[in-house]
Amino acid sequence: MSMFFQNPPKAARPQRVDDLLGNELMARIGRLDVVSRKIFSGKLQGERRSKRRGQSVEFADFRPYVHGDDLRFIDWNIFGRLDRLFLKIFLEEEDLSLVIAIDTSASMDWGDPNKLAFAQRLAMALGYVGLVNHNRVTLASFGEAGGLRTLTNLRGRRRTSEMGRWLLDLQPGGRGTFEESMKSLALKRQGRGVMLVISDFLLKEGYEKGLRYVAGRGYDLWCVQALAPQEIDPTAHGLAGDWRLTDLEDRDEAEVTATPGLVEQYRANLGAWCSNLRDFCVRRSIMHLVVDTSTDVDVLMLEYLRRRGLLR
Amino acid sequence: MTALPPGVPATALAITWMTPFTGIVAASVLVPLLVALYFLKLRRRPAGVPSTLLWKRSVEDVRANTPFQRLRPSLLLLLQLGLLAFVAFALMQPRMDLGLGSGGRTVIMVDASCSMGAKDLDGARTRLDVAKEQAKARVEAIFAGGLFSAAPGETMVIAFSDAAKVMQPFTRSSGDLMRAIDRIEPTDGASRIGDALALARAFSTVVNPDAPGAAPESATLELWSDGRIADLDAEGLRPGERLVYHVTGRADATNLGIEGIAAERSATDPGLIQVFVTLRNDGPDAVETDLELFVDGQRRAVTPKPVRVAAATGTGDGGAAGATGTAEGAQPYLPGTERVTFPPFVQPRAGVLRVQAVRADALDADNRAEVAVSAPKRLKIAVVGPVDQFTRFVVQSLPSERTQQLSAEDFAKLGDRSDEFDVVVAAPGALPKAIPPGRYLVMGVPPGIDGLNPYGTKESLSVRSQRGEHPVLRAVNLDDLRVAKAVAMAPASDVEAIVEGPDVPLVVVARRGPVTAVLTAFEPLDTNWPWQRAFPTFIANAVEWLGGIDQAAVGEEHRPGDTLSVRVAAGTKEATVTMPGGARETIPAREGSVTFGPVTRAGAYAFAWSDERGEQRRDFAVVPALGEGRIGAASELSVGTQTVAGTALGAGTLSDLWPWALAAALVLLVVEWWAYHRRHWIRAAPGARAVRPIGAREPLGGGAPIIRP
Repeated sequence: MSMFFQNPPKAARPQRVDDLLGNELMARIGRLDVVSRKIFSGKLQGERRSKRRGQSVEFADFRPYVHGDDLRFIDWNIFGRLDRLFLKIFLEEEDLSLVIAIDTSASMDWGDPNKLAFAQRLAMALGYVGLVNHNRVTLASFGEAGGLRTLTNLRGRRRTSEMGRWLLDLQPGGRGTFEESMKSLALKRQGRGVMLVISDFLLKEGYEKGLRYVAGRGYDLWCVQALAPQEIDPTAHGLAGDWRLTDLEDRDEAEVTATPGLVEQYRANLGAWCSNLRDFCVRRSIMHLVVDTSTDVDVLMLEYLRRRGLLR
Repeated sequence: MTALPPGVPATALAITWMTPFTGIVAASVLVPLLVALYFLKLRRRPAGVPSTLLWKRSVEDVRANTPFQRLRPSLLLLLQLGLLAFVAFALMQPRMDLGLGSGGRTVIMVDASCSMGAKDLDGARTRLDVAKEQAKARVEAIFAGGLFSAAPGETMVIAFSDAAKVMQPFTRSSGDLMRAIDRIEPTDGASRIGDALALARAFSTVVNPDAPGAAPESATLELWSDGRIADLDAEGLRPGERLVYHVTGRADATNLGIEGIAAERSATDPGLIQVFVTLRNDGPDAVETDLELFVDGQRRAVTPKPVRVAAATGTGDGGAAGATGTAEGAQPYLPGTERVTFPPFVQPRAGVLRVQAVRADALDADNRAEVAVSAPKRLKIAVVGPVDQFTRFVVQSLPSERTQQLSAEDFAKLGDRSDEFDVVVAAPGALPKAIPPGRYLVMGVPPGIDGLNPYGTKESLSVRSQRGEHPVLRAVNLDDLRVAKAVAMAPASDVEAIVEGPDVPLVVVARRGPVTAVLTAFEPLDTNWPWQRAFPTFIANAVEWLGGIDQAAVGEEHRPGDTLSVRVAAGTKEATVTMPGGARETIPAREGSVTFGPVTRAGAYAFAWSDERGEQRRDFAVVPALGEGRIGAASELSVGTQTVAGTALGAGTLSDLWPWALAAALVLLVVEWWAYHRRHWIRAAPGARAVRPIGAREPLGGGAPIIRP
């Protein structure tokens, strides 16, 4: 039985890029690609199919010519056979914008394994998948006192180390508002694509307003709720007896006597909290995942994220 | 503790609380304080958590649903509450009755006789001390239960030796009972339970007037004694009575004591005195002891060699009627005895002679004996009226300071001055109707003495019985006495008949205030007595006894229970009595005499008073009661036809429980210490283990699935 609460370990966060993304993991996830549930247009003609027909090599369909269409896409062969003007429609292949937003508030610097470290590893792995598939990768961190920090428009494998260093530089602490951060992120949006928000979503002010800013704005949004094992089952990790619990963000205190009844009530409340978040996400076509931070990132990506359709 | 005696019903164990309010107050203060401290929880371990949001909400939910949820699983609180409960229990000083439960009325009877002064139980305390202590413990047991039990039955306390005394009538006040038991004083008297039983029955027997035929409700008699009770054979238990006999004393206790002492002046040289002592051994082995003789506190003589006293023989009942424990047909018990005579020594004055056995044993009271002797004295005798010639001749031949012949008229003129004669020998008709104070020998029945009740004459009488132990009849043989005519008397109960004929008393001793008289129912000339040797012996005995010479010469023997009386001159108002312990008491004189008693302790009593002749003094000596020397405690009592087994000391008393409560509290303290260092002992929440399998998608309290390793 872990005695986390009696003897909490010092936060062990990755110090090197290799700690974030080892060679073995790189090899295993190198063949993956980020999938969007929708085809989005992009600025560049990338590898992504877009709903917008355009200048591409892949024929999509014909349609009758109407006034104002580009004469360059008229299929003159058909005009020769049928004497009618049809326009050739091509699927435009675009690059995908992958935005990974990481909660770096003080509450994330907790647990064993550390929640922030888990978020860093997951972001690194997903970002790597995006880079190797020539997606436009944007990293953002929120929750710090300084507000939203971003690393924008990375593309290509060679930007991997830069992304890693940025992730390593993340420092937990502060108490930024989730709503403001999401609003800023939505305003800085470039292109369309997939956005992952990695947080514990234990926000006293609520997560609804913040998520509304980023939902339905051209992003295929994923909420990854990272919870430490100690949060999920406190009793199994040494929470018994009488405690004065201090909120790491606002220093609020709660005096509790960890009786089985109380812990059971806590677990029920945690489940209800997660359930409410899930319901909120379902109503807005947001994908929601609750992840135990003791889960290996490769297992999470190769099994769960593939199964849920984020990766292929 | 010993087993209950047969016939004693076992009752439910009862717990009494010596100081219940102390424990209740302590518990009422400490328990809420502990719970309050538990809630306040000054010592909470700090820990940081990502958010207190869910915890606070959970605490509120739990409080709303189950207000005492916090208390339920706390082993520490339970242990601490248990510890406090035991401490409070100990503070209440619980005691448990280990038998002889109480119920109904109880009479506590404590034997305060001489043998109860033996220190055979622990060497320091007497049997009476131990009996009083145990009786008080029994009172505590009877009143066991205190706050939470039914009202105890009424209880009374009786102390008895040769007489019984109600120390406390029936009451429900344990304090009064305790004080009454404390007031019980030791005596040197014999052990007689008859009066005590009569008193107990008089107080305790309640007859239901609505049901005349029903058996009266009787009490339980609880007796603390060594079982050496003289009159137990004559008693019996009535229906409904229950006797519990608490054996007080060791059965194997042995004792050597002085059973009797006497002193006698020489007939030829009254200045010489001789002391006689009887030693008694109640042990199975012969013992030797030296005897010392003290005169007025100064050692005068010591036996030249130790006196050997033979061992007691037999195991039967040797006088202590109630003591049994012998097989049928056992040899009767006979103590070893030895008579010792000290050589004559010169003691021309009055004084107190004390003989002391040097050998120490369990019972100190009978290791010494005293006898008071007065100075040698010659009598002044008056012969009043026409006394017959035989009597007059004998009286005139007695050694005396003065023998004076007086007519009836001359004697009547003397009035109060008649007191100057020690003895008056008078003809029946010569005395006035109002007989002045004095001592009289009358050979006939005078009219002036009440209580004789003459009603006629009897003829041709002979002696049927005579009290040979009376000093007047010492060495007087009346077998051949023939009385031709005698006055028939029906004397009152306080007139002592010392010689009796077929239906009538022939010689009586009458005491009427300051008047003491020896009377014969006949005149000597109507008998053949003057020609017999017994006649002058009788006259001499009577004159000496009346004149007090025999007391001075032989040493009058007094036993506890006797009343000491001394004649004082007219006009004396009071006398001071100095008792054996040195205590003094002033007694007023009534009708020419000072009476003190009945005495309870053995030893020398000194009466001192002053009259026109100056300071006067008279010593008395009281020796311990007979039969109290056998101090081996009887294991059972034979009361009439019933046998009551003895109960060892301590039965029916209370056993302290507080040490056990403290021990339990100590154990709880150790367990609490252990639990304190293992507070995670609380079991894990149900369901916490159910989400452990790798990859399992398991709802968390109805919430979203959690991805777990």
